Amino acid sequence: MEKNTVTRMSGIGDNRRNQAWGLAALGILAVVVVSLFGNSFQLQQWSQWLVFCILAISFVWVWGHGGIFSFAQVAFFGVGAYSYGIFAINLSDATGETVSAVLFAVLASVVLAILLGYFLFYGRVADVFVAIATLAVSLVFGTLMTGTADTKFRVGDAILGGFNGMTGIPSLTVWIPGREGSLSLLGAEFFAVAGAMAVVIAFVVALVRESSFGRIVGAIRENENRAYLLGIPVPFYKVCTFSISAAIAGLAGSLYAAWGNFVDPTVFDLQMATLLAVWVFAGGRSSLIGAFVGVFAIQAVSDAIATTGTTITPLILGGVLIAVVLLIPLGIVPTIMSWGQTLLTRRIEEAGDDEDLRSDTNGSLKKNIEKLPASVVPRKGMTVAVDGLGISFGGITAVDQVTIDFPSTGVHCLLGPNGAGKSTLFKLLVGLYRAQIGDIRIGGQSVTHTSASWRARNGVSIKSQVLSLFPRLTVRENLWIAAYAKSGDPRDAAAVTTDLLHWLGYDGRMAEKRADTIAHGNQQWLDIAMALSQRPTVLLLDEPTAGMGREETELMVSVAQRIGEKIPVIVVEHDMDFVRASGAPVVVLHQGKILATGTLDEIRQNPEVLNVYLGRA
Amino acid sequence: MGMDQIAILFLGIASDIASLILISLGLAIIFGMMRVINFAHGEFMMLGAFFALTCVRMGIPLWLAIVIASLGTAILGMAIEVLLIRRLYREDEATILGTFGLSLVLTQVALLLWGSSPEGIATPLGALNIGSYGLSAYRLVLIGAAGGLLLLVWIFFTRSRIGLMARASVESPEMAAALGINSAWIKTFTFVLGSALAGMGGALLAPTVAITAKMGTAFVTQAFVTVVVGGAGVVTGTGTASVVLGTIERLVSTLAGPIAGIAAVLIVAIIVIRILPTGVSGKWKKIL
Repeated sequence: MEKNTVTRMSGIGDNRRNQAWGLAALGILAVVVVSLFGNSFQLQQWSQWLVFCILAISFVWVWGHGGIFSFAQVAFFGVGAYSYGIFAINLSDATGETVSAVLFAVLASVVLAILLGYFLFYGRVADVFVAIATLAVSLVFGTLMTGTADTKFRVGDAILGGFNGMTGIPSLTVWIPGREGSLSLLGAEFFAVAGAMAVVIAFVVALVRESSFGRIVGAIRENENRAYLLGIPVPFYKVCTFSISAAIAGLAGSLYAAWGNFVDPTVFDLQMATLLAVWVFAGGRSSLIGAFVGVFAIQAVSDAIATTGTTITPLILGGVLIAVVLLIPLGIVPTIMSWGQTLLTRRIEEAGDDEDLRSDTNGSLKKNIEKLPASVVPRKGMTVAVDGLGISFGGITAVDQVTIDFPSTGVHCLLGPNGAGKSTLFKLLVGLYRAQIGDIRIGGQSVTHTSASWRARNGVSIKSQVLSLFPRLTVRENLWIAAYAKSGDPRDAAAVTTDLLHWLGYDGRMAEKRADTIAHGNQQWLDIAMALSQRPTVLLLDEPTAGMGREETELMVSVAQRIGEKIPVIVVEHDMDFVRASGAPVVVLHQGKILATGTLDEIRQNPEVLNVYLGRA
Repeated sequence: MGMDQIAILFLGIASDIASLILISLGLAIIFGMMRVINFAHGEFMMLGAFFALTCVRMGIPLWLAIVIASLGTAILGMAIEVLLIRRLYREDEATILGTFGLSLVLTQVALLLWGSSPEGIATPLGALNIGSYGLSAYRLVLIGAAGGLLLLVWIFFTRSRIGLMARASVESPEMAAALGINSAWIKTFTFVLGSALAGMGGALLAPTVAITAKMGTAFVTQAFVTVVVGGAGVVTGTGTASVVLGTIERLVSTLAGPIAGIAAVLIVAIIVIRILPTGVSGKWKKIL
């Protein structure tokens, strides 16, 4: 069984991986052929374009896959170029090669990315701010370098040169074992090396996207909050994503300096940032092939305009950017591919029927409901103790010194009118809000001051009131990410995923559908299954039956009871059918305080509860 | 340090703060009220400066030229909102890229219209002597204009009907729409207001800088840093951030040179967003 699941999970990736191998082989072949037969002028120009392709790939990775709109790519590119220059000018005479300078340039860019990323992502800066902050960083770098005209601004033999730039940067030079002296790569040789590097980097990025790490990065792009609540250390992953992009951009920068033997502050300026945005946006933000297509198409057009002797290139570039934004927001390559796909799927849909895509999966759930897969049955629950817990917002005390003890098993219901503080209490329990007073203990251990992702990793799972999925990932990927976030074991996560898909009756084509395209009821079950796939020790369900019919509500009761045999399942619910059927003990909250506790029947006799619910003063 | 030196330093700080306010107010209004980052903000300022230059060359007094320049950028802003920005509201990234493309187009158009050599407007009002130091008296005008504009914006958004409606649409778009506030119209209006203020800032600063088609970049860098530090609060955020950054820049560049000044501002800005990710005004949860 497990063997089968593993191959299944890697099945999707395999397809894309095979494609990547094929395209990489084709790419290398093309580079070799062109470098052998191209004329030298053309090769010189195309070499530069290939360097730009590498820069574009860094943007495809960080923006298209990571969802971070980072203009800092320009800063990394420039820092890479200047660092290569400084290192190579000072040391290439001694070492006889400049490969070490390339490595130094990559390192310098990565260090910058870690510093900048720490401030941006550990501060949890909003997305728009990331765009302007990173652009400001790039532009300030440009201003700084422009200000270094005085020859006192130098590092060893390398004169920064201010507005005029740094000159006399050595070409890319390698030392080949068994060969006399070192070899400077010029012309066709440089083209071949740059081309091979561009292809290999695109290939590696394609593989990384399919790796466990890459999947998590994609999940953060799709829904940062859910990722955080699943226990993924989001800032750490973002800094890693950012640093990888910096390594690629820094490499591109060093090759740029080696290619032109020159670098000036224009590498940091607005036009460079625009060019990068135009290439990638025109090509398609998440398409690696698009990075190549974008660079070559845009550069060919702007060169053609430049040869006519006019200076309207930027006008055209700006116009192209606006046109793409307005007319083909997906970009050239994805748009063409989606046309192809539409043609293809239409043919398939005509041929086959779509039975398993219908939303009715209750039948399967009903059959399986008693057999919650062994792989996700929680081992052992933990007690949850809330002691004098309180939080207020402005003048409103949302949770007012609440004290409750939940034993380590069983279903427990929280009731109360709107605004009673139920969801706020949940947010305090998972760590989205920090308690202002009081204490939360899980399994006897105080967790009051721990982060939400720490609590998730330590067994607290929540299904929030509002659906929270990774919309553009498949059903299977959603489950896999939730399981992997907890276990850190891709094989185990794949096994859990397959078991849950089978249990839900979503195996088959449903598993490969995007989460935002399935029926609402199915999304609700998927959301709950994601919480289950973490093998929680405490499960919080905020209105799990919202929008469900009677039959599905009954199923939900059985599921909650089944899980409640092992761990505490705390449910916020308005649906009295659910509360009655579950037979669970009830806590009623009102205006942030506990109003009553007991069985549903006891609660119904309680005059204070009746007053609150019936509006009697 | 003599009294005159201290007075000059303080005036220098005040004038740097005033420049930052003039540079960032238009961007801050559009960002604070619409959550749109106008990457072409620097180009609106550049056009304001060129409009003022053209007027002055035609013999129009500078004061009137500044008013005409802001009207000019207001009209341009309206055209751009209707033709471009309005179609991009649904997505943050689209507005970033769209206005980014626009900045390139506007720069190039300016280059074609006014050429690439730097131009200038003579600084009016002559010099002000304090002890053995001199200072352009126009700096005082800039300080007054910055304070006045900040106050006017505050009064406009708290006292006027349109200002209140604009704030209502930011706070709760659905509720505002349900009350019959036309949010599309409000957005157009806000964008026009932001463009006019950008143009006015550019025109006011025009006599103190070299006017070129590419001057927008320098402005936009400073405006971005100010808005990042200030956050979405239009008046409070911009005001506080300008005071903090202006003071730091002037002090550090006086002590250690202009490059150190720029670097200091960047470092302070990055540290501030680590501590206050939504800017200084984010903590206050206020729109203004």
